[in-house]
Amino acid sequence: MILKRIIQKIIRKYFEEELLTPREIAKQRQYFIQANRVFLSLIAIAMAFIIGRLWYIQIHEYNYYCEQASKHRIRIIRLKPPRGKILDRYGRVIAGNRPRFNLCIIRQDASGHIPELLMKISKITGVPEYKLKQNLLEGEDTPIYKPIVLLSDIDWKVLAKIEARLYSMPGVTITVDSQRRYPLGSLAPHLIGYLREASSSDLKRFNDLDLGDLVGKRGVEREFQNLLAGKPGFKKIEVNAVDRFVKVLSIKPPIPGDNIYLTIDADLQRTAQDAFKGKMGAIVVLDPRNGQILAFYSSPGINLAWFSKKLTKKIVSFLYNKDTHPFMDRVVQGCYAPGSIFKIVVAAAGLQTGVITPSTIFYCPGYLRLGRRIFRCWDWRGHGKVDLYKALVQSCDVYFYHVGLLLGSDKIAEFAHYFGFGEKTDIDLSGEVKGLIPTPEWKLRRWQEKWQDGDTLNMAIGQGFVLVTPIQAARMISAVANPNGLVLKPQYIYKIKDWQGKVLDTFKPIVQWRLPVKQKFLKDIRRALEGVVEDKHGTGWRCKIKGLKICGKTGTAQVIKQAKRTRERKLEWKYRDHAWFVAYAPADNPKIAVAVLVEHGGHGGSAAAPIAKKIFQCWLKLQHPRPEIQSPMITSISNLKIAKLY
Amino acid sequence: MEEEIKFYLKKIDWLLLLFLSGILLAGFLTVKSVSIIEGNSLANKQLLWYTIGFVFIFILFFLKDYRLLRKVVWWFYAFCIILLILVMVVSHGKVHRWIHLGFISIQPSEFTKLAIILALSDFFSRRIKERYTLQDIVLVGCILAIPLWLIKKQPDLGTAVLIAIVSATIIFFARLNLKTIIIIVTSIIIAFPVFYHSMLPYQRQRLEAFLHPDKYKQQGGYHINESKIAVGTGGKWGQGFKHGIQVHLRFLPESHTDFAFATFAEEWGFWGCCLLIACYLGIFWRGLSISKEAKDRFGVFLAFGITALLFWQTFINMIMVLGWAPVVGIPLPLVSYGGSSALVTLTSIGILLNIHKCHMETSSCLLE
Repeated sequence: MILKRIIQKIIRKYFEEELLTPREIAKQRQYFIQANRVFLSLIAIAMAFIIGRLWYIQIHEYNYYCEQASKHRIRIIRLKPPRGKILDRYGRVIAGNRPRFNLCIIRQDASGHIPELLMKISKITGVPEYKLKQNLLEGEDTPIYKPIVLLSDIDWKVLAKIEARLYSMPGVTITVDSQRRYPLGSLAPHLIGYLREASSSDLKRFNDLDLGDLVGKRGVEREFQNLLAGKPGFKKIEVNAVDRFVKVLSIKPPIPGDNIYLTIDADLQRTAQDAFKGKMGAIVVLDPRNGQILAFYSSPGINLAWFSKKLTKKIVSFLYNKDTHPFMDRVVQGCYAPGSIFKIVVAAAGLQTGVITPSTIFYCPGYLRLGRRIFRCWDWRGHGKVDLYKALVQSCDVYFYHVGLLLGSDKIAEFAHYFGFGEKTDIDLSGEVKGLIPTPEWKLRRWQEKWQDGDTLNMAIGQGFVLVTPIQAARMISAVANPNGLVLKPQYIYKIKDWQGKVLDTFKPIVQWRLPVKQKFLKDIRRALEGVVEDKHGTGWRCKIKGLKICGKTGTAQVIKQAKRTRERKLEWKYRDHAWFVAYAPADNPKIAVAVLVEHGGHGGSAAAPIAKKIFQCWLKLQHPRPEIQSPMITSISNLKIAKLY
Repeated sequence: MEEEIKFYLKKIDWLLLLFLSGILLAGFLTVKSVSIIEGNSLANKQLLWYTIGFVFIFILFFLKDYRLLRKVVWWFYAFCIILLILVMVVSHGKVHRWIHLGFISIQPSEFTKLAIILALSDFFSRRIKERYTLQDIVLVGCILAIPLWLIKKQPDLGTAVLIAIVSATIIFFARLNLKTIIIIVTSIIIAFPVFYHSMLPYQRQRLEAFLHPDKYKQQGGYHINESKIAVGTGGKWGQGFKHGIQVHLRFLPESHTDFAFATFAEEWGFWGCCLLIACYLGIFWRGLSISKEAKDRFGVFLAFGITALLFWQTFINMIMVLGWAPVVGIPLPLVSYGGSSALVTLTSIGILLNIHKCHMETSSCLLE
């Protein structure tokens, strides 16, 4: 009450209403009216400014702000297309797709209890928590409405456990993407190739690629990456201010990759791979009529299934083994001395140039003396009188020493090129090597030494500096087998179909050139090659099959010089000879040609021929229940487009 | 009875009510649209506040004479100060703006606005001078000091500045002598750095963001940027009711309170905004007319003060939304969601109506 009184006193003192005269009141009223008017006009001006500003933002800058708005509310999500399949000539899947289940976390839905979730997941899967955290951190930059992969490719057991507990773990999802599947096992691994995550150079090479996508790293997967990959689709989504998904605006579905049918015959391929178990080397099976590759294997092979997961240390150390080089594709990258299979070339050269005839006879005492040096035949007992047939059947070295001396190194080199040695076969695989056909100039350049007759002798029996690849050997024998002597490009694409089954491309044989050897001479050689297998003295008798006439030629390529040689058994494995065998069948109407190389296998007849035999047996077996599928063949040679003419 | 009703109906300022209902409709539509994302009860609550506000209008209209308010002005003033102190004590956390009373929460600073206008009107009608001197301004400063300090302490710098601006408008309206004007202006200029230093970090950041919008796009500038985009996407005719993209995807912060005008602009476009602004202009016009014709000094000052308060709130809020002012927590009267604000604004409208009614009574008396 006292307070109230004091306040009232103060109020009375300072705020007592004073009385004004009516004139004063009227004057003040006038002022207020004016002040009010001024204020109202100020208000009107202020509001006019606001309307002007509104006009500027809403009408003048309308497009700019609309663009700004859509920029931060629309996100584009890429939809990965399923990769095209790789199949064999009969449509059996070699490399297909399987779903891969990934354990993911979407931070948008898991916000707040991520550590808890990680603990739970760790308990269920047994993966340590720090690893999950690491994976989560790696995906930190992804928008929060996109899943981050914590564990990729989880197995069924874990999947079942997770699925059962999903309801209690909001934000955890299972995503599915596709992964390569090899239902027939790892067939023709070097030809098929494998997938890895795209590197920065891959991203530059292919525009449709995104980080984390799989890209073919070799073989068909690499060469046909563009076709197999398909076209990615897009999903436009709307997100809100905190990047949460709101709705889908539009979808452009992805286009699956094309399916590629290879000329490979899975049965033959399987047989070839089984035959090579425990051995190193390479095998190529061709159709001599059109150049289709029926089987293609480099041993030791690689298991393609390894590459769908992170490589373990054990696998990596196997892959990069310095002695076996599993990564090397021996078929196109392995260079080996051809050994006696080169005698086919020398024989053809001799006949064609006329230095010998089929009946020319040389005497083989088991060696040839040239100056002070002695060049031995492989059979120290000698072959006695030798003509062309006997020389090829028994693989007499002395005979070919003589022929080689008569021809000279240049002529041999020339014919070697005619048979496709020393040049790439142009098969559609990267990394193919040329091999080597030596010439005097080459020797001078490379070794600063003069070419000697001894070099010519070595060359004549496919030793010394001559190096060929298995694919070249296969093309050579299939050219010999081809009734017209056509050199065909080895090809592995049978047809390409898009995902709807429309055929985009089919196999067409490509003739590279024609052997410049008269048919009658080729016939003589073919007869001799038949003898190699069929004759009782033939070096390739181990390949003999009842009911199929096979022509072939063995080869044994020395790894070290003859002088240092001791008996085969005692020789350290890595100094043993490479074994070659090239063959085709049936003799009168060739449909299949094989080139086998066994690294350090010893004699061609004993190590390589049995492998070829298995191939022929398998092929023969397959002929009966299954009719041959239609493939383009070369029917007439009159209107051939020949790539290169000699 | 019918006579009596007719008698009262005559004395209602119908134009003012028309403009008012236009604004209320805009406010309701905006809150209704935002309630899709903020919860359905929002629009109902707003409607409830409007209803309560109308009850207040009704009461104030039927008050015999607004001069009766003079008896409670200072009690109301004291009550508001107590509330302001209470809010500091009761609420916890960093920000002390609301007193929570179960289902509602009241904002004392809103009531303080009205209290100060009432107090100043009473002051200027008790102490009548042709031109006021520095001594009077110091007295006014004493009236303002405590509530302003308390509001700034909340911290609610925006409201404090608003009250200061409104008071300044009223003071200038009361007419100062030249010397005082010069002193006031110079002291404001001198005091500005001190004022800047006393701001809290977030307030300073907002000011910085306003001055350099591109530099602070993500932090303080976010509000203004999104608000401008929301207004811009409105275009000529707007996105349509409940179709505002910026709002419904939650890009626009505070879409139903401080940035309600952006929400409205996005959904109704340029022409809708023009209509709304016209309604506001109409209210200001009516307010100032009532001030002009009020029969005593208290009425003149009260009507002018209320109009000034409404105008400054509207103006500051709009230029903030349009990116011409730093982000401050000043609502758009009657459109922004907020119980206290709606209640206070409608009460002030009720006072305006009462002043108008009394004017009609006197003029009719004079005619008789």
